[in-house]
Amino acid sequence: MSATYKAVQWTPAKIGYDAVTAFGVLGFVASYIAAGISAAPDAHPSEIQLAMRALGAAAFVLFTVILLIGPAARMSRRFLPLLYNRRHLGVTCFAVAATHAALSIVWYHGFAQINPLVSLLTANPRFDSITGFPFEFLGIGALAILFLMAATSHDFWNALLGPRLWKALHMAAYPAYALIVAHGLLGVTQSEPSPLHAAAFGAGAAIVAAAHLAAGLRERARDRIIAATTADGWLHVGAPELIPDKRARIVDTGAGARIAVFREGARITAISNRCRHQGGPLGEGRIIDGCVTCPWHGFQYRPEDGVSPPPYRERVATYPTKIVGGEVFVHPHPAPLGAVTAPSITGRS
Amino acid sequence: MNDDDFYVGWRPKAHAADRRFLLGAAIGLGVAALGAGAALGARGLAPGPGEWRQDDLHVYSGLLMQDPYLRLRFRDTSGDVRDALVVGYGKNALPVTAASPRAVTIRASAIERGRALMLAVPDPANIQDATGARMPATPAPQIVGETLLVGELVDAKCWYGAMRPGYGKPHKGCAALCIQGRLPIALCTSSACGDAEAVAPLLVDENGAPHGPRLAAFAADPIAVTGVLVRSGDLLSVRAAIGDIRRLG
Ligand code: FES
Repeated sequence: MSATYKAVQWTPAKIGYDAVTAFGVLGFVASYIAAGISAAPDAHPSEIQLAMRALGAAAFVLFTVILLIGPAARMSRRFLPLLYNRRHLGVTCFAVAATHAALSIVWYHGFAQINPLVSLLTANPRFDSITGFPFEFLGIGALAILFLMAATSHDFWNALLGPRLWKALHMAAYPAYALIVAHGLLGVTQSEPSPLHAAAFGAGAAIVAAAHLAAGLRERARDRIIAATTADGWLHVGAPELIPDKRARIVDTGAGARIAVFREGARITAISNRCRHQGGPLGEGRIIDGCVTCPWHGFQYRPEDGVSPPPYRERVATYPTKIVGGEVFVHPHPAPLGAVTAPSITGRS
Repeated sequence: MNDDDFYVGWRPKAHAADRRFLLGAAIGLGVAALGAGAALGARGLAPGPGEWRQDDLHVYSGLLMQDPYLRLRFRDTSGDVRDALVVGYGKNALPVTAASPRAVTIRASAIERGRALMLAVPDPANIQDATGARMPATPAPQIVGETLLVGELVDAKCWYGAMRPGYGKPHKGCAALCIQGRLPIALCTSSACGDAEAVAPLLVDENGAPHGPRLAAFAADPIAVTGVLVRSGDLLSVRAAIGDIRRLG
């Protein structure tokens, strides 16, 4: 949240997360190289060329894992801890991909009289061919996007750019992933005798697509369950007891917005379902210490005015609520940002 | 999941259920990473039997000639006459010419793939004129016959063993640089250039002269070549005009 910014606010959980990430990446690369050597002890690829390939494969596998965390967290809350520090994975993925690129450029394009970068950009002019396509350009495109995302992954940039622009920028992860799949399919797999590498690229892309589809379908099914009905311009939420204590019911306004209607004891409040941080579903969070707490990264908002508790300053919209005939209603038009909206009291706690 | 299970990342400690799940996920991901790495690493492109013993310099005495690339004809330790291409250490030909054959000693490291031999010279000063030694005779080229060859255009230095593997699409940029640097160009005629039995005759023009940098764009591409196969000592080459070299894919 936006009071002050540190590069990383280390906690034991973050240290553990990064240790597992480092072990996973280094373990993958080491086992790749060891297997490459032991598969043909007398005639194996050079260690540097094995490392180059291993790093490229590691970046792809890590990127696949990163893209699976979002849908997995939508399917089960158990994956939320993986989402919390996902930017660490993104930065690691960029670092691994950049090392792969640097090694490839030095090894394949160095040791000559031509500048390695000039060689990289001019060695293969076959843009008119599919099998001969200069796959390096696809990798360069992906690396540029990964760099942009890694460089702006910090909350400082989220606050500076605004959540919508920041989110749009980070949605470029999907084109970057597509570029990496194409980079692999039109590059290394073109010369491979074994179909395993091509299958791995195809399977990675298929799993990512299927996971997003499944999470999207589940989301749609959930939206249908919480479909709102209108009365006098207010949206019908239901009986207060349908809302678990310190939790919310999400109401779709039908105009593209969702409202999270919270109950804390007898108090009913409503705020935007969209977290100011990265658009997380506040209605799937809970009230902790009197504040609505986002399930994704833990940003907090006071339910009555939608403002983060000091020293933070993030704000989300609040909505008027009322109780008529023992039923909760919420108005689809938000109060001015930061304005206090009085809670409705159910009369029982 | 009850309220106490709600995960908040900034809390100092996660709930026991989350910790258990994360431990399981960490172990699972770790094992999967090791397994996936091993499975992919074991199935890479085979480099073939070539090798460059870069730090192992030896002195070779023989006849240095330009035919069409710089080459040395010498007697090995068992007295057999051998022919070796002579190159520099980077991706460039040596700045040395031998318009007519001359006796020399060369301090160089060997790049060797089966019977195919290349001598890499770290410094042109490692080539010294020699006198008095008994030199082998210059070889007479023998025409083997007309041929149609299909294969991958490679640079001979990498394919002999300077790179492992020294062929394939990822290697294209490197091969193109070597060709621009006027290193010997060859045609790997096997569908699996990493096989121990694969052969790669040199590819020269119809007059037996190097094609040079104009073939750089064909590097690592599958090509078909119609030409004449010629043997000169240990070196096999296919002579083909540029118009008789056709890209296949
Ligand atoms: S989306 Fe990050 S805390 Fe809400």
